[in-house]
Amino acid sequence: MTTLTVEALSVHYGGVRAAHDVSFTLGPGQSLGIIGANGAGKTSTLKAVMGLAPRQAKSIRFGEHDLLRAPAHTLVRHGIGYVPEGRHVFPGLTVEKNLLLGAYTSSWKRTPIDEVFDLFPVLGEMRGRLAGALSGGQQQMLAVGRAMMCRPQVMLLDEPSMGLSPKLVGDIAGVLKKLNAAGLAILLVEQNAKLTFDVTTTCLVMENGEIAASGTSAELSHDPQVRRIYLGL
Amino acid sequence: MQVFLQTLIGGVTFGAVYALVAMGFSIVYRTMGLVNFAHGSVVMIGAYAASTFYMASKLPFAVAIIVAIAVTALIGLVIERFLRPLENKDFTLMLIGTIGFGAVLEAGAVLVWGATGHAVPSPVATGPIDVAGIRIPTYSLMVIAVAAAATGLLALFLQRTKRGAAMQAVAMDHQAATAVGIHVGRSNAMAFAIGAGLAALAGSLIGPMLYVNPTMGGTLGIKGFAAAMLGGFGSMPGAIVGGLVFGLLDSFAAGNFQEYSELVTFLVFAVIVMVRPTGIFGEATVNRA
Repeated sequence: MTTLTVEALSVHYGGVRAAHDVSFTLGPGQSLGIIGANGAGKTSTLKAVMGLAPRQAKSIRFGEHDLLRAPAHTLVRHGIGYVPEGRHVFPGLTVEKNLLLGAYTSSWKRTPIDEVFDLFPVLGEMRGRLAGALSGGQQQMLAVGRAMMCRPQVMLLDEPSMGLSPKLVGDIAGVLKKLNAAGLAILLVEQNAKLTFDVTTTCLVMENGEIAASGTSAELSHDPQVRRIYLGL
Repeated sequence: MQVFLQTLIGGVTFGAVYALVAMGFSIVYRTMGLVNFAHGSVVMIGAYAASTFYMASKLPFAVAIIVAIAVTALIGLVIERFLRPLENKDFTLMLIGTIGFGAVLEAGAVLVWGATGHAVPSPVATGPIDVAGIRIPTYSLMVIAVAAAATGLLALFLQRTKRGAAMQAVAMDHQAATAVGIHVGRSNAMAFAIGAGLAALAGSLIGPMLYVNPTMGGTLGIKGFAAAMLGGFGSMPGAIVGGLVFGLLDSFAAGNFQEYSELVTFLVFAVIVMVRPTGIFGEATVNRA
């Protein structure tokens, strides 16, 4: 099993600073949340870890793999699944093709596609449908399912609750807890603090591109300031 | 009636070639969001390569075509490799780069083959075949069959293979494709190679119907480009339909308006595109610029 370590990560778009001096560690099977308002730098942080945003860092490591020097398309081979913000399924391809592409780097003869269909029966029913024709919730399930297809050790999720009904958010939370219980490490980036506290054991709070607070999810969910700002209580 | 049918067959024959050129434009555009302005010149190089291997090296026509496809696919790979550093950085420079490559290829053709061009003898018997009372030139049948087979193979590749699926994925979403482990650069290179291969096939097939010369790429490039637009730029079925429609338009205009035929063809084209700017298969076009 492998630990994801990020040290002093910064993201700049041109002259604009999106994230600064972000560090965290995610051990095998653990769960870590990053909450914060829109524009706090959460998505940039996640993209930078994936190599999909311009980045500077002291180090980004996944076990013995140096992710800072690894091209973005090689990360999946180390067991890192990524669920991008806004789902980003391949709209003109079928549900099944979308899932199979999640296993692009391995053989298509032995994929965990049946496990995905067990977890999300609706995807099995719609396997021949074009992904672009699915509802938002179904697309989100597809995006999570696609990330599962590489048999990841860690899954990075960016705002999986975006645009979903409270019931669907609950469903996604249930799935994430189930996957986490089965040994998958989870890094969850969310505006929805309630969902994040529910799914993760530790949490970071980002403000203006920097980590403003951190602690266990239980502690943070009782912190008066966090409650006021992020839970609206 | 006989004249009408012959014009029709002529239109479909040229249309099949335009469709091949249009598919080459579209596969690169789908994948990279880039119009490859060197495409017409690659068609010309393909025509020269195939006719040279056929006439000078005395290779069978089919083998000459395959060699020509291999040569131009290599050229496609070279073009993509040169443009790759600009990907996601300077789109305009990439476009200008393709124009530059077009000029280089044309100049290269003049150096290698001279400025005058040559005629290519038909590789099959010149007499027509009688199909249910309609006389169809043997070579037309061959062109249509080869173009159809190539189209079928390409569709099979895109829909049934892993690499094909990956190319489609890159066309739809760069970042998501990268995140599942697809090397976008390599996929772009393959799109360029396939596009160039289609160009070579088109050039090889049209050689015996036209005169092969260094500037033929301009005309064929424009017509293939127009065909792709007519069908809906970036859509593969659109490229096929657009190619056939443009071929028919071309053929009937030539039969009825003689020296004004090109003018009429492009006027009709302009009107269709004004009425339906997204083309016949008007799918939402890729916007990555």
